Amino acid sequence: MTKISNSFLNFERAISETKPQIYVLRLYVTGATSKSIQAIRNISKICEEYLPGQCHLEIIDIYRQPARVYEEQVVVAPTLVKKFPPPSRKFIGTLSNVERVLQKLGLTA
Amino acid sequence: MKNPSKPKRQKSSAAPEPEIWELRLYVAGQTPKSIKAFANLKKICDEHLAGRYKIEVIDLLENPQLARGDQILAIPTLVKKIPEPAKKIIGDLSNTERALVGLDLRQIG
Repeated sequence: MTKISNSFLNFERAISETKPQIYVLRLYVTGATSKSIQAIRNISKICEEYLPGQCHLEIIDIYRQPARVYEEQVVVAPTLVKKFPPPSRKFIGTLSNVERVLQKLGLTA
Repeated sequence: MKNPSKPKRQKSSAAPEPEIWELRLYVAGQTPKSIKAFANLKKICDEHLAGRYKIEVIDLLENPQLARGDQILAIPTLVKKIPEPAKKIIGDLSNTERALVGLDLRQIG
């Protein structure tokens, strides 16, 4: 029978090295339209449930700060940008498909 | 009809020693999910099985021959080998209650 290697120690080391990751998210919305409000509500819910205390969420109203669309090349709203951890990701829409958002945020397989 | 498996008799007549739980976590490399599963498993064991558990982490990237034989269909998968009956739990074990039920550490209802 071939020997089975136990990776227990490797994983012990891995968890001692991993600090709780801070997620930096930017949500670009257009004022208080229905879609904007939905997106804000959905991402807030996701942050509360899956990233308690680990989420830095900035909401940018491009009606009030139009120049900020250039920083992330935002062409449609709502758009959510994951700035950190890498890789950078963009989500368009109201973020109502929670499973999909979690997948792309790397919070589920 | 199969005979039900009988539990092993304790040899000493003193209070029976607590059974050592044998748990095997199947992973495929160190991914955020597998590390999370490991961290969650350790937490559950420390809280509910303090001092009477043994965790093996089997990385299928290092032991590819095991994937088929042990019928591992998803990663990560936790297998409780001892005490019987063997149980399998898929996922990163973040739902503690469900994991406890799956491990027979919690009654339903």
